[in-house]
Amino acid sequence: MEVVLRGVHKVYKTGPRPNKVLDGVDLVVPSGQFVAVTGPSGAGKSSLLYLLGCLDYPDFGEIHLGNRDVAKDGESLREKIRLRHIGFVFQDFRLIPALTVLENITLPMQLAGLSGAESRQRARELLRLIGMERERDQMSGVLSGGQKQKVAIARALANLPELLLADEPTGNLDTASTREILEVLQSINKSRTLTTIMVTHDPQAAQFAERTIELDRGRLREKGHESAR
Amino acid sequence: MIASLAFRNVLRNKERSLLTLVGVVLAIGSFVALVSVAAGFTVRVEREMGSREVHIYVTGSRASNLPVSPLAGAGSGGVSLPRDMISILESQELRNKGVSMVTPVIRSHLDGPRSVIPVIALPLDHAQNVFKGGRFSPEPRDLKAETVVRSGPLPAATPEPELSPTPEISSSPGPTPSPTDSPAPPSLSQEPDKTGPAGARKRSDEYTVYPAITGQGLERDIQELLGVTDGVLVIEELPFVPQAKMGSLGFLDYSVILPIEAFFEQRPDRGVHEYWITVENEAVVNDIQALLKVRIEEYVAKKEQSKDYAGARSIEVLTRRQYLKSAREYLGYGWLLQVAVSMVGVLIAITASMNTMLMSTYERLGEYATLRAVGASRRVISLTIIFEAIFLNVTGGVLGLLFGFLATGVLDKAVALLLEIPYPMAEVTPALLLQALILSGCVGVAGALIPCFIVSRIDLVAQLRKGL
Repeated sequence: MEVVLRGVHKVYKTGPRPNKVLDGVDLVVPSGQFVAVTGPSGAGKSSLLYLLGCLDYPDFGEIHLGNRDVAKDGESLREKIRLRHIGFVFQDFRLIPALTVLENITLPMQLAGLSGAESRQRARELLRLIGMERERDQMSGVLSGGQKQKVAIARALANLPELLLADEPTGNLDTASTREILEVLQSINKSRTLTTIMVTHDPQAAQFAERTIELDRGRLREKGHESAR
Repeated sequence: MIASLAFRNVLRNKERSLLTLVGVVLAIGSFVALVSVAAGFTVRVEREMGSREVHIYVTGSRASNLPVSPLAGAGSGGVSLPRDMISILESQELRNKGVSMVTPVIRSHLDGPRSVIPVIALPLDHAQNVFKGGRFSPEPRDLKAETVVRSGPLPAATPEPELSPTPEISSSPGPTPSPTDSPAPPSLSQEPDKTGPAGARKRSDEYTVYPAITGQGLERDIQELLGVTDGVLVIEELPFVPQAKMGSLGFLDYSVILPIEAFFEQRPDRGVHEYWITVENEAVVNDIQALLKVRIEEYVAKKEQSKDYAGARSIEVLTRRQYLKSAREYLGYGWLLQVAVSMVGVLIAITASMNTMLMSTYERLGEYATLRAVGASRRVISLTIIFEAIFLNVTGGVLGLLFGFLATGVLDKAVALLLEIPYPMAEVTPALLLQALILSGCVGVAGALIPCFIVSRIDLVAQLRKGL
């Protein structure tokens, strides 16, 4: 899925002063590219990701996912887009503690209307992909950080999305787990031609992406071979 | 998946769920216990009406159409119908249509030594026919030979306690009946003979009284009222009500059938409260009802023209179904009252449920934001919350039914003791159980409404930034 941002502005007005996090961002991510977005804390990296993930609306500008400007869509439609076209990986994993590993992965599929058998079959394939078949019946709360993040990645891939958004996916992991997770993301990106946008403050992690963009004071700056603005 | 998640959410905070459960159990239990009293009345009325061989009721339109026992005295509200109307009802025309019996009925009461005794006065030879199989009570108890109505005058020498019968029955001395072989009504107003010791009373075959059904102390009441020492069979004793507690409010679970002639003897000009009409073939009930209406209207118009009419201005001719409907309407007020009282408990349960669901929801806002992020719609999340609340409350509802069932027994006895109504009134019907179960589900839904509203307005970005 190609991702295109044109003149995107976002200002948060929750504090004493308005906080301009995105100031006219333009960006084109071709379908299947693995992009890392870096920048200091508060630069607007996560805000950019939430806008791309249809979790928030821009104040101005266009956000095209494929050929659709999702900034203009209503919430009901954006719910469907999130369910069927976007996968989300969070820094703190955000697994549902009341569910097992397998159930966490089947959850988005069942929300999308897949049968129990079909969703379990696909979940088992994803568990094989991340090397966690044995843990499928464990409650998600008992897993290690690295394992949780792998399950979160499997959940994000459950509905075969065209866009994977990862918000500091290695932020809570040790070095070994970080490497493992980044390799998984890289492998998935290559094998599935899945457009992947990963926010990270870790330059080492960014090296796993084929393109790196720096976000600073609401503006994008190309760090790799391609200019964003 | 939604149901599974909702169920597991209930178990995530067991202590809180348990406390909410207790609240729901108490609310549903008290609903069952309270409403079962009204349900019990309705069931008894339906059984009694069903056991009567009466197909059409002619009554004053302002009469409260309640059946005979145990509310006999409350029945007709003083609305009377002329006695000579019977000639219309028993006319050859109506007999040809299928009317087989017309029974004039007076509802009244006797002031007994410990209680007010409901009285039904009707022609005694009709009693066995009107009350199917000789069963006056709706319960399957046969009246045995010795309880079958017999009549006869009181012997002049027999001491008789002073009676205070109904307002319609004069307490002034009436004519002393003379002994006769043929059944005749006892005098209800005979002056007691102070010279004879009470213990000297003896049963005479020439007079016997007409007790009908059940009730602790009935035998003694009848003996003291009418001066007989035997011939009264108490079919059912109600063990949990002490005799001394019986009946200061009046309505007991038995009635006394008296010959209507006794009432007419006292007040030759008095009317009756109802006419009960039995037909040969139930298929023609509606035709007969229609004809009766016409003939009664003509009768009243004619009487009014000659200024010779003092009965009810408006007369109703009701089929058994219509009469029952009317009775249900009266009993419906009682039901409403019981429901209103029990709703206080239900409102408390809703508040408790809402509080629990609110706490759970606030604790899980981050989780709900995650669900939204992975594609769950607001509707799905609201459903999860509603399912969770329903699980919790219907579980409480089922336990509440059991609790209510037990509480009903206790309440029954408490009502009997406190209100001195000496028979089990409450009845837990399948309909009541279903209502209680549905109510518990509604408590759940009501408790989930505000949490659903909160979740639907959740700030996704703020929640996702917070972390879990």
